[in-house]
Amino acid sequence: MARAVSPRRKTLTTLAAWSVAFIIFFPVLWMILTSFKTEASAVASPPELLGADWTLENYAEVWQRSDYPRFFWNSVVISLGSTLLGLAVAIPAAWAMAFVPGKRTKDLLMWMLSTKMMPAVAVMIPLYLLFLKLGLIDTRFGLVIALMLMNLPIIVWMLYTYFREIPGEILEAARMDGAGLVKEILYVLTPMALPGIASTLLLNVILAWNEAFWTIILTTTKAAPLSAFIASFSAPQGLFYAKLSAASTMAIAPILILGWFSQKQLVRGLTFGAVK
Amino acid sequence: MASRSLNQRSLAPWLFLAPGLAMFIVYVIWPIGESLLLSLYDWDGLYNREGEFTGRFVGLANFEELWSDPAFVTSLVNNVIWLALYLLAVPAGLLIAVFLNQSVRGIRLYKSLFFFPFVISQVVVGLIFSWFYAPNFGLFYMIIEWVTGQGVAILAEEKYVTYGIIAAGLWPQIAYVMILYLTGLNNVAPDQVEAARLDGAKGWRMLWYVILPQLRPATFIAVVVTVIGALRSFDLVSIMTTGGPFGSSRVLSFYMYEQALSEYGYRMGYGAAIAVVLFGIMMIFISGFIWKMWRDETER
Repeated sequence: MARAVSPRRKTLTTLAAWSVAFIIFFPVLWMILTSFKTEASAVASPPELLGADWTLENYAEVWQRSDYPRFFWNSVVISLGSTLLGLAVAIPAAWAMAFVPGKRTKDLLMWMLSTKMMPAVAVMIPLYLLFLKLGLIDTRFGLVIALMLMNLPIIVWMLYTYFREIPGEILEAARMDGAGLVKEILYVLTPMALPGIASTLLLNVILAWNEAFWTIILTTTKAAPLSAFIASFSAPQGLFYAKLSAASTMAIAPILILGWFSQKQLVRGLTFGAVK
Repeated sequence: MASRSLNQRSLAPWLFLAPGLAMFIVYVIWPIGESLLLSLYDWDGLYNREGEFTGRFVGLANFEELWSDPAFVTSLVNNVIWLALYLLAVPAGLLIAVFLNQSVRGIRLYKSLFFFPFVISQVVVGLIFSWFYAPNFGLFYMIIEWVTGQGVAILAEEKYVTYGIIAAGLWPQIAYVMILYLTGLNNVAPDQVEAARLDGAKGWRMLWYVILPQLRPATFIAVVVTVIGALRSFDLVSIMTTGGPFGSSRVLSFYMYEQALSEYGYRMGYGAAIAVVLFGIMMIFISGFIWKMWRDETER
C-alpha cells in the first residue's frame, strides 16, 4: 500500500501504535516489576515506581522454599514429550491426508478441528476414570498422553496445511528413483517440511506448557508442572504478591524467551498454518 | 514384487491414518458416549469390592434436577455471556490490526510486544488481573476510585465478577486475533486495493467489500480460537474466584468439576449431565459454523 504519508502523520500513527502496544504489554511488565519489589512496596497505594524498594529476595525465597526445579522439569518433559509423541502420530496421518486425499478427507479434517472446540469437560469424567484405572493419575506419562490427545487435532491440521504446499511431483520423483514409502517420508518429505514441523512443534510446546485444565485435574504433586505450581502457590500464600509475581515470572520466563527467538515460526504456528 | 508394493501403496494411507483415528476415538468418541451413558445414572464414582460399577439407573432424573438447580442456571447464563463477549475479540482485533497495519518505526520490536499476552499461561493472566482488581492497591481499583470517587472490588461483586474475569481473558485473546489479522493483511493483494480505490471505495466500504473477503482464512481461524478460548473459562474462573462470590461467577465446566471431582461431592452422574448439556450447546454452535465453512471451502 504505497501511499505518500506526511512525516507528521507518520509520527502520530507511530505514537498511537506504540501506545496500543504498551497497553497490551503493560500487565506483563507490571508483574515483572512487582517481582523485584518488596512486599510492602508491591501493595503500596498509590503504586510506587521510582521510589520503590527493589530487591532480588523474592526470587531467592521462591527458589529455596519451593521445588521449582522439579516443577520446571515436569513442564519440560510433559510439553516436549506430548508434542513429540503427537508429531509421531500426526506426521503419517497428515501425509495420508495431504498426498492421498480421499473424497472425505476434507470432512475428516474439519471434523477433527471442530472437536478442538469441544469443551474438555465433555470428556473429563470418563477420561479421569480411565486414567484412574490405568494408574496414570499424577504421573508424567499420563499427562504426556492427555496433552498429546488434546493437541492432536491442531498438530494434524497444521502439518496438513504445510504438507499441502509441497509439490507432489517431488515425492513422485523420489518414488521413481526407487525410494520406499518410509524413505520417502523420512528423507524427502520431512526435510522439506522442516520449517512447518518446527512451527508445529513450537506452538504445541507452548500450548502444552500453558495447559492448566488437564494438569490441575490429573496431577496432585508428583507430576505437577509449573502451571499447577503457580495455581497452588497462590492459594495458601495468596497475599504475598511480590513472591507470587516472582514465581509467575519464573514460570513464564522459559516460554517468553523461547517465543522471543522464534517469532517467525510462531506466527505461522499461531495461525495454524492457514494464514501466510 | 510389483503387486506387493502396489498393495503397500494403497494400504499405506489407511495404515497411516489409523493411529491418529484411534487416538481420536479414545479422546472424543468413547468419552462422549460414556458421558451420555453416565448422565443417566446416580453414582458416587466408587466401585464395590469386586470392582463392579455401583451406579443406579435413574433415567432423566439428573436432567430434571438440573432444570430446577439455580446454580446450574447461573452457570449456563454465564457461559452464554462468556461466548458472546469473547466473540467481540474478533472485530476488536480486526480493527486494531487494520489501524496498525501502517508503517511504524521499530515495527519488529513492536510486533514482538503483542506476543507476550498470548504465550503466557492463563493461570498467570488470571493472577495478574486479580491483582489489578484487588481492593485498595489494585491498579484497576484505583482507576475506578479516581474516576468515580468510589472504588469497586470487581471480583467480590456478584454483578461485575463475570465481566471482570472475561476482561482478563479478552486481553490475550484480542492480541492473538490481532496477530492473525496482521499476518493476513500482509497478503491482501495491493492491486485489488488500488483498483478499488480508483473506483472510489474508501474506509468502511473498502474494509468490508475488498479487504475482509481476502481475510477469510484469518477470520476462520480467529473464530475457531476465540470459541476455544471462551470454553477455557475454567482456568480463569478457578484461579480468579473459584466460582465465587456465592457461586455467581461459575461456568458450566467449573460447576461440573465441583460436582464430580472436588471436595463438594462425587456426583459423577450429575456432573456428566452438566457435561452433556454443555456439549449439546456446543454442538449446535459448532455444527452451524462448520457447515458454513465447509460450504465456503467446497465452493472455491
